Amino acid sequence: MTELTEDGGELRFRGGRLASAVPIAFFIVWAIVQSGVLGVGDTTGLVIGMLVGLVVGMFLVKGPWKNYADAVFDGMTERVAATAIVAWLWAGMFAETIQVGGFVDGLVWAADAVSVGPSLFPALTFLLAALLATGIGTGYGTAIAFTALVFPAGVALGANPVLLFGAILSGAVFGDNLAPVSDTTIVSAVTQNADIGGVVASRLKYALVAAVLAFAAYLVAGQAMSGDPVNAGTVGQGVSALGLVHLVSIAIVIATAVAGRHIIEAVSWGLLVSAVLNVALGLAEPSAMLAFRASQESGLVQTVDSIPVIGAFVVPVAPGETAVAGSLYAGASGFFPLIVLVLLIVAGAQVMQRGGAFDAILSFLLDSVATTVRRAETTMVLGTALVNAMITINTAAEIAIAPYIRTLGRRFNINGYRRANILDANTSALGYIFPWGGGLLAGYTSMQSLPQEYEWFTQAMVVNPASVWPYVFHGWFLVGVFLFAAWTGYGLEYVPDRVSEEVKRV
Amino acid sequence: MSLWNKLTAGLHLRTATPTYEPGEELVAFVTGAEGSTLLVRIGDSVIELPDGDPALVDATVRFEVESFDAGTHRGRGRLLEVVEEAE
Repeated sequence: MTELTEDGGELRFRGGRLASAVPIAFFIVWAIVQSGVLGVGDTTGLVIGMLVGLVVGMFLVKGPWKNYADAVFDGMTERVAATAIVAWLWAGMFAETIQVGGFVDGLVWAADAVSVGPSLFPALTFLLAALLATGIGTGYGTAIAFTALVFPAGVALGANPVLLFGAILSGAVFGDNLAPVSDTTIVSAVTQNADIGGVVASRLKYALVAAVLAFAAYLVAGQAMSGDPVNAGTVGQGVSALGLVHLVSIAIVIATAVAGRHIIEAVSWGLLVSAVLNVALGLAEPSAMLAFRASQESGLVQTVDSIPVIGAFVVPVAPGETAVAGSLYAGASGFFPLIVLVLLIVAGAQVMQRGGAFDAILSFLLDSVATTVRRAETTMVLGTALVNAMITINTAAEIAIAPYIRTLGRRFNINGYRRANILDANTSALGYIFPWGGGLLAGYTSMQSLPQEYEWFTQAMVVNPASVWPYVFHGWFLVGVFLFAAWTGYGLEYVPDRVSEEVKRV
Repeated sequence: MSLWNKLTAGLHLRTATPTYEPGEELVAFVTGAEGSTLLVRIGDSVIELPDGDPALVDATVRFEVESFDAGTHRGRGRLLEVVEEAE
């Protein structure tokens, strides 16, 4: 690595510091045109938008372009991107594996047994997603799992797909915001010099207000927007309750994560248990989870196929149809385009930071807008929202804006808990609202495989990412609660009011 | 601090201009300086600490409030100790 990258060398752009925002700005415009205007929800298309944006940005660089390339490389190797990627891959495999084990059938059976109709379903989904996300600490994982599992069950019952997807994302927002083990919670506490326990405790007075309002909104909207049940063939008619055994798999993930184990370990245990349950209870064949679909004309393939245990994973097929398949494969591979996209976005964010666009925007806010404590807090809320609109992986956005929240808040002696809460709530919320947000795209990616999974699930039931933003009620209410809090001083504590306990670094 | 206190702390509408009584001891960040007078801005209230070192801007200090005018939201104080140096 060069000396320049080691000391985070500055980049200079034709057109001044703001020009370093061109790659990200280009991408955002592309995303709005592609998914919002043209209604094309293709993640690989967004990847191309970001790639073109990075190329366009390069032509604006003054001096050697190598510095620009270095910034791109440094951005792509940032740990926050890897964290999101890990959550997607593991959650994708896990959700797909309990899906082939009939968990959706089990949910439909349960909803039917306790008479949860389509109007109540979104509100209940919000609560359950919030619980899961708070337990496992990853909103992305929750968005993926619930979209793969609970979403089709709700759609089959007649719940409105867009509303239901919004309810799932709302639950993910709640968990990302509140969970002590969530990345965003940890970043918010550590960067504002506050202890994590104290931050979570001080957060309830905002999160619960927003959650109560969101729950009520899902009840009302559920009544107004529900439709008729779908003729879902196997789903909904004489379905088996046996798939509900995967609640054990989910409980294992939650318990392991709450016990403080890494999310890789927690989900791996859940994955292992779900695979064992699938085979032991006859819920799914081994080849439904992992299959080498090899040419039936090969003698070697036929021999391996006949070997006990190993043969269960080999499926002889016509020579032209060879592939690797199964829930592990489908669960992980569905996220490949999104993984490439996140790597490129953090690269663009790095360019923006090195080029000074970030500093330029925030200096303006600091010096010209934030002249009183009420205006300073409003700036903190809106500034966090703005950065999350640009850097769509919310942990990355949070890390980028955290020093500014700290500087601005300390200028008015706003204490660490309050700063951490403003930072995290708006980070969590916005990451699931914008159509190009990482959490939203993760859920959408999970949804795209549903038409192949279920015959009755038509392409028309796949929600356009650009249409869900009005329905992420918890996200909106959370931003609303914080704007209210900034204007009225609700929950405001100054540094002399309470000193935060020693920071527990993680 | 008990869990209940942690949960309910800040459950109020806090004023933008907090008032303080003479004799009160506070810990806060030094937010600015005018010459050798340090300024501690808490919300939109400002307490001046005369004869301080401008290098203490951004440091955390303990000080005693000597006077406070609730009408103008300004007061004067006396620096007691530097709790944490500026970063």
